[in-house]
Amino acid sequence: MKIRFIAWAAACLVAMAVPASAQAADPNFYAGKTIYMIVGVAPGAGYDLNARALARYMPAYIPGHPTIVVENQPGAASMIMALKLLKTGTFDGLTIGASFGDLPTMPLLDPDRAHFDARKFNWIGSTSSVNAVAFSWYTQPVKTFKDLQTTQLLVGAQAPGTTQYDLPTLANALLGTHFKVVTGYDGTVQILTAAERGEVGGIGFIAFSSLLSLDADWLKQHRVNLLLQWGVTKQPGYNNVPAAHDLAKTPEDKQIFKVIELHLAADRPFFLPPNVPADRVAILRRAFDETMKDPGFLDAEKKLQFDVEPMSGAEMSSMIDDAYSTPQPVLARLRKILNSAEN
Amino acid sequence: MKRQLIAIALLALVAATVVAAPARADDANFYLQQAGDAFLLIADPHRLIFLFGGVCMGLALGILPGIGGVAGTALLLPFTYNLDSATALAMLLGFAATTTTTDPISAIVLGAPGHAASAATALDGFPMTKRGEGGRALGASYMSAMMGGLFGACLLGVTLPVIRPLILQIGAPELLSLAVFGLSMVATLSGNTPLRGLTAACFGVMLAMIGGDPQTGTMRWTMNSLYLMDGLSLVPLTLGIYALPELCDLMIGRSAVLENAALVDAKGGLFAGVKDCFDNWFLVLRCSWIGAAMGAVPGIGASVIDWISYGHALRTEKGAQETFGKGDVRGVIAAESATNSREGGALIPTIVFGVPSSPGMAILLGAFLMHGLVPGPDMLTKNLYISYSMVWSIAIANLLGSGLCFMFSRQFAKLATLRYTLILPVVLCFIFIGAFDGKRDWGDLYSLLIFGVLGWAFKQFKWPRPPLVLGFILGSVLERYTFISIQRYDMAWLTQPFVMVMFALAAVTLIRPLFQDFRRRGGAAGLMAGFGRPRMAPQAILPAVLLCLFTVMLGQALTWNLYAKIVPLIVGAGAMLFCSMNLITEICRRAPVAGIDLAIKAKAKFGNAVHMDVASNVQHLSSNTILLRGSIFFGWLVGFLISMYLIGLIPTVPLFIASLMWIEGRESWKIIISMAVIMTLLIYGVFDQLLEIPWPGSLMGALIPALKVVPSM
Repeated sequence: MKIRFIAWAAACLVAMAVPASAQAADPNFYAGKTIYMIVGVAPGAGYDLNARALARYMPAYIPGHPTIVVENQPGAASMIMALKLLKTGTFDGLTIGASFGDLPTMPLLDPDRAHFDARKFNWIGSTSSVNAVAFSWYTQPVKTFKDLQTTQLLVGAQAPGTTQYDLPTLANALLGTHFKVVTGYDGTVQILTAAERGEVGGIGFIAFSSLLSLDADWLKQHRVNLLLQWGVTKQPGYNNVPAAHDLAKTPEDKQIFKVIELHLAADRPFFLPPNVPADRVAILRRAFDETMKDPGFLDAEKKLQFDVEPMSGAEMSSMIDDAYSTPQPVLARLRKILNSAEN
Repeated sequence: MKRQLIAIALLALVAATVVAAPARADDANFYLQQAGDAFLLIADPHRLIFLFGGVCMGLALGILPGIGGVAGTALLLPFTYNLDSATALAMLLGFAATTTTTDPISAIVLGAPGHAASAATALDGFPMTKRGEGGRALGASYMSAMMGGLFGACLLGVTLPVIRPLILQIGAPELLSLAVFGLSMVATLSGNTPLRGLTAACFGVMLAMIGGDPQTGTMRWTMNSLYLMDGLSLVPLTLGIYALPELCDLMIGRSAVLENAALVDAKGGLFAGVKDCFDNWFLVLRCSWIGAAMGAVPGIGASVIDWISYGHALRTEKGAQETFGKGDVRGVIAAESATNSREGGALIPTIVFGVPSSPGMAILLGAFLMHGLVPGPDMLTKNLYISYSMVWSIAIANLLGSGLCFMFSRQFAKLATLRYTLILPVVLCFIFIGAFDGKRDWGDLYSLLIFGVLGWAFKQFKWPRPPLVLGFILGSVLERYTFISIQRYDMAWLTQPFVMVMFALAAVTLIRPLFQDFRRRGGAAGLMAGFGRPRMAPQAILPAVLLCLFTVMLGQALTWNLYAKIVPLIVGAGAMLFCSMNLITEICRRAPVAGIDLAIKAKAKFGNAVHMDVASNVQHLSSNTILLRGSIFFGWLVGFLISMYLIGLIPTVPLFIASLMWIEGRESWKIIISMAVIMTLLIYGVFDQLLEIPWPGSLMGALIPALKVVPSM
């Protein structure tokens, strides 16, 4: 009985070992395969819905039309997922990671906790960039950016480490603004209702797209004063709102904004773990770029009220390389500003 | 008479809100017409079929311990891509509204609640099962769930048009005062052991502080692990605290829950339970109010609501102090009606503000987005008919759900008569996977095990467990909103009327039971009378261990930034104070000396108070046997984890089932093999294929990559 079982197990092992060793460059590698897309946030969140839309339309552009299955591995702002992919892969091009936009910059901003090098990942692209804005509720005395340089504005945020906290804090240090950040809110919507209620005066960072989709009336009826915008480029139609990086004074300040803008430029990134065969990375990068033009995908994203402003994997990689070459003293200063609350 | 008056007052309150807001008849007509349109929309057979599908899945997943609505809603989400919004939401709500209907089954039949939301149900439901009244308890739970669910839907429908301004008024100070009120229930829920209860509550709050602190970003008590950065997750904690101890006792007792199969009241019991609900209609109404109202408040989760409702029933129902916790059907009714009416309440902030009040609602918001619906004022005007279609969906789902449960329930009640070697392997496998689904990390399994041991120790030493979970859930709400309130309003928020009323209520709720307990024990004299020279007692082990833990935790906290440590230090100091007092009592308390009249009286009365826990059925065994068999139980769990580390979770399932059944029970191989095969296929199908859970991989899989074709390896 026992011997027969061992023989059977051994036969199985041999049988399974064969396909594993036969992994050579193969343009039709993905035919009949399943790709796992591991999303670093909980199901139902915006990043998850975006990833699911991509997973639905991307297979059509991958030769062999594999199935893409979405799995969620939330925790520690996508870091648990990223470290898992870094450590255990899989490294065969069948596992894609989908993370928050700040994953690449985390090792620069928080090296004590983010022990990885984002340059090692094979970035396949980002579906959108983010243009964001700081606003004050219409009843507040602060109505313009100039007011903000003289008068305090209470803004809500979730916790240090989120853009709602980090960017106003950065503006205080570099642009002389007087944001006072109140942390502890559960999410963006809670902060918006707090602003409507008068509990806070506004918010230091909210994506234009969220503001337009959640509270379009607020913009139309001038319920909010737009004070300062964040992003690599200005939001179309809002040229009159000053952009943070235009206001940066010294070259060093500009470098700091550049590090932060990496996150804004590639807000919804997708990547493969390191050491995936180059031809498979190329296949997926190409498929990603083509999906960004797919009418079905664009339609699905439009329905979700997500903007599609794609960035290719190659562009992302070079931006990440740039950010990582920022001089250490500049990064140290940036960290000091952002961690001011902890010390 | 009194109850009629209160009932009338409650109804008048609803009527007043309706009449006051849409004052013009046109408005009222508009709302009625929209509600009517919505009903026709949902009554479409095509939509009903999807709703029914959601209900079936909700019921099926609700039975499995730990597998909650979140995983299931996430699973249903992709199916809704091609459905219109009313149908998609009907399916999701059908699912969400019914997971809590079948949830109490394992709580009532096995005493092991699968989710925190049914923990209070176990307290009276399980003793009923042991008495042979499992059928009645189940019947009462379905019926009260249905009545609660319908009430929640009604309240949602009635208040929806007018509720927005009211909810907008709930700011940080209001939420804070509600959390304080919820926390004050700890005193009631500590039963006859207030010091232990307060210690447990403070410990719970400390556990809630684990993770990144929202004020300064300081990592508190995370031991440098990524897993703890976002804090402990609720699912493994509650499964460990509530479910594992009961299963452990099942193994220690080495018997079925109910030995005598003839005692099961599967047939008539169900209807007796239904009748109980109608007899106690006023209790159902009150508890449904609590559930729906509390459900509308973000941050106060289902796991708190059932205890608040249970605590309310305990304090207000006649004779409850004597009978609750010993198998009083009113305990089941109170817990279940509140849990199910919550869903209607929870929809309110979701619809009108996009503020999800539960994880399931967060996913529902995702569905909103996918269908281009924006929560907010639009849902009350342009899309009102969709909002109303959701009200109808919840109502119909509750009817369908409870109806189906009645049809299949005879078998559930009989589960109690199965041998422990048939029950345990299956339930334990689900608990492992349910816990793992928390954050899908090894950390979930470690915390399941740690809190399992802690929960078991609590149970054996008669420490109340609900205060710990209550403290855990409300602790972080408490801290965050305190900071926001102070930063925004300084101290002025303390003078807001709502805050003052809630604080006053909280003070009464907290102090009255403590004072009664103090008097029951004969006041200061009675308490002191029993004191003698310190002597080591086994009961002192738990407080001693906890005291060491608190000391270490506080030592670490001292090094943090002021804003990060202030709340942990205050709560930690409280924990140490209560725990030390308890420790002193344990080692110094003697049995009352005869002749001291006061003390004897005290003891006689003392016996009457409720102990807030399911009574242990292993008391006939010696403590050495209990300890040995308890260790064996947790040994099995550790074995599961080791095997999972070596060969992956799914291959571990048949191995675990087979070895447990063979070694513990010498079951026949025919049963063992069929059980192992069925369970493995079921787990593979549901969790690997349907729910797409990312397994952590295994050592074998890492060493021999070819083995990765085996799922989860």
